[in-house]
Amino acid sequence: VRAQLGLSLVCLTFALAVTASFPLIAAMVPAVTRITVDGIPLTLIVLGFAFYPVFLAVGWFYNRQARQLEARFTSLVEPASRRPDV
Amino acid sequence: MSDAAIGAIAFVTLLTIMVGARGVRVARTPDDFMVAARQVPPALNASAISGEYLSAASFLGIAGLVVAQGLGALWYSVGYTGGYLVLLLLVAAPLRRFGAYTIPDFAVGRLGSRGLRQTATALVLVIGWFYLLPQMKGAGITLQWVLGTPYWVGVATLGVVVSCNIAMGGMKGITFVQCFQYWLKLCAIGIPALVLLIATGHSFSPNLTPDRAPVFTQATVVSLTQATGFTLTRSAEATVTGLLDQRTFQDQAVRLCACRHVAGAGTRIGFAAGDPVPVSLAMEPSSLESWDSPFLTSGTGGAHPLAATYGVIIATFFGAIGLPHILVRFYTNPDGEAARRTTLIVVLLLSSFYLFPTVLAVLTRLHAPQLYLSSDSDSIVLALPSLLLPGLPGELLAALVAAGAFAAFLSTSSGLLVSVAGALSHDLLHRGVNTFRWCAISAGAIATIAALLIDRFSLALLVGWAFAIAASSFCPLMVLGIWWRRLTRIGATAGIVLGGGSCLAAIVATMLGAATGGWGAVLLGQPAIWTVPLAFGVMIVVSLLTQRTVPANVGQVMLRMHLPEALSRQTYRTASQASRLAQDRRTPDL
Repeated sequence: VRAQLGLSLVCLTFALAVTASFPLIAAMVPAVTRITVDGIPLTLIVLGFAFYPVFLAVGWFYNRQARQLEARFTSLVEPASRRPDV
Repeated sequence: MSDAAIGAIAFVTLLTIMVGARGVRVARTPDDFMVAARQVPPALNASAISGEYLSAASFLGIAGLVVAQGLGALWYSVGYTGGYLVLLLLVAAPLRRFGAYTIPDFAVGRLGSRGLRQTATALVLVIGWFYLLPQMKGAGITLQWVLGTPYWVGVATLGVVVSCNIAMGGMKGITFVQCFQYWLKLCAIGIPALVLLIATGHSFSPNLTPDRAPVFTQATVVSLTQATGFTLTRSAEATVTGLLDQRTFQDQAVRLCACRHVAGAGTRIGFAAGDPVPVSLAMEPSSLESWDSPFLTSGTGGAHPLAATYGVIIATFFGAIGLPHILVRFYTNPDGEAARRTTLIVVLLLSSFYLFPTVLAVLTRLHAPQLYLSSDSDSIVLALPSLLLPGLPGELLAALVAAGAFAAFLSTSSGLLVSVAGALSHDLLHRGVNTFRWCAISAGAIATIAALLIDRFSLALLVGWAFAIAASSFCPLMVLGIWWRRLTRIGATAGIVLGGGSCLAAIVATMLGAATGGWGAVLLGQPAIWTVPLAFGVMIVVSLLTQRTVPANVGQVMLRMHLPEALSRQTYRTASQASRLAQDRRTPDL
């Protein structure tokens, strides 16, 4: 359980840090907002499109890790809990 | 406006009513649909969750807000999606294993307190109503635009249809319908966006260049449907027909100065390519100067944009956990592992949906900037197709958009109304199905009346407020309840009351126009930035102070939430008495 919480918190921190850093960068370096890529402002690219793949990647990573943690935990407890059962 | 749009809306509405009528036979009792739906595969369930989640704010509000106030409004769509990531990381699997249907159920099951149930129920009502208002408003705008009926007709129509539908049988239980609604909505916004994108072609436009006021890309005649005040950033030659600045013109060339102008209803102003786009005075002043600023300015009068942006990020990221009508869907997953997969698919589905409002908003900015002059930014998505693509194709696209929008109102408000009515009848009044019906009707009526009073707030803003309340009341309850053994019921109650209460108070103050600028406006208009930490803080501090009241069965409850399914079955068999009690508590109810 503790490992699960740790995993959740790491992923959460990462996602929030990525999200929260953009306005902070933009506030400190206003020039960032004036960058354009092929005539499209960077702000539009980041806010409109770039965040979603990041979210998906974090979520996918979390799901995989959580499944592994549970599998490991189950195999650890399994022999012990089977005895009273049988 | 067009027959196709009327037909499309009527079709969606009829479909919903018919399914609701069938629901009477299918779902006689609340237990039926809850239990029967327990084996829903993740992909289907994820579509259903998305279908219920994507509301008027997503469909109309975000694009409108982006056009009106700039790219900063995209934080709403990022946040609405990010909320599910947080939900996945923090609550999805444990919540499914816990097996509570509603937030009040969770509160009682985890902390065993009657008083907490009442508090939580009251907040479910508040959040539900706050979320219902924008749906009603969206319906009002859509019908106003399609049929030319007054605003209240649309609001009343949606209120009556949804209330009666739910009172008759409820459509909530039919996962398949919600799933269908998602794909309908995706098509209804995706197809127009793609078609318009192809039709207009990719051409470089000065309107996307940062720090520039928008200009007309081609000669455009702006027709004003109502008296409008607007400003110009530069002086411009224009051909005016009708009343302007208290003078009547008849197809005359006029030199408009770079200042304020007032045009009468029915005035038509022709601009040449390269002329600055007039900006309506009704809109936020910030829309002109910094359209591509990454900050958000709505609801705060443009002050302290960084703080306002973080307010929205916090509210939307943490608000999704506390939305009453979403939580109930998680119980239809077979197990915790499936709940995780479902949530990930929801993130995927929402991501793909939110690409399209962005596209539509950018298209508006590029090719139809005269929509800046329409007084209500929320109707932009509806008006765009027929402006860019004249003739039958445009009308068909507009019909599709209108139908999708109506699907959005119907599905979201049905889900909400079931939650609200369920909370009223079950948690407050402790009655059965008949009371539930009356609660549905009266809750719908209250929301309808309230919606008539709020038409000056933008859709995305209203929904953002509902998220803020959820984030500063239920989110700490869920997160701490799942992960922290030492949470006590007094701490939880104190946190909910203080966090949710202060957030609600701030929003009401904003609605009444208490503060119009500076820090006051930011802290009241985007309250989540301080109410969420406040709620967490109060909950932790008060819990630590009242450690003697930690529920005795906390270990048991924690075990059930976090054990993988493969193990929990054995645990149930061995821990006889307590888990049987726990299962009683899980009996489905509404």
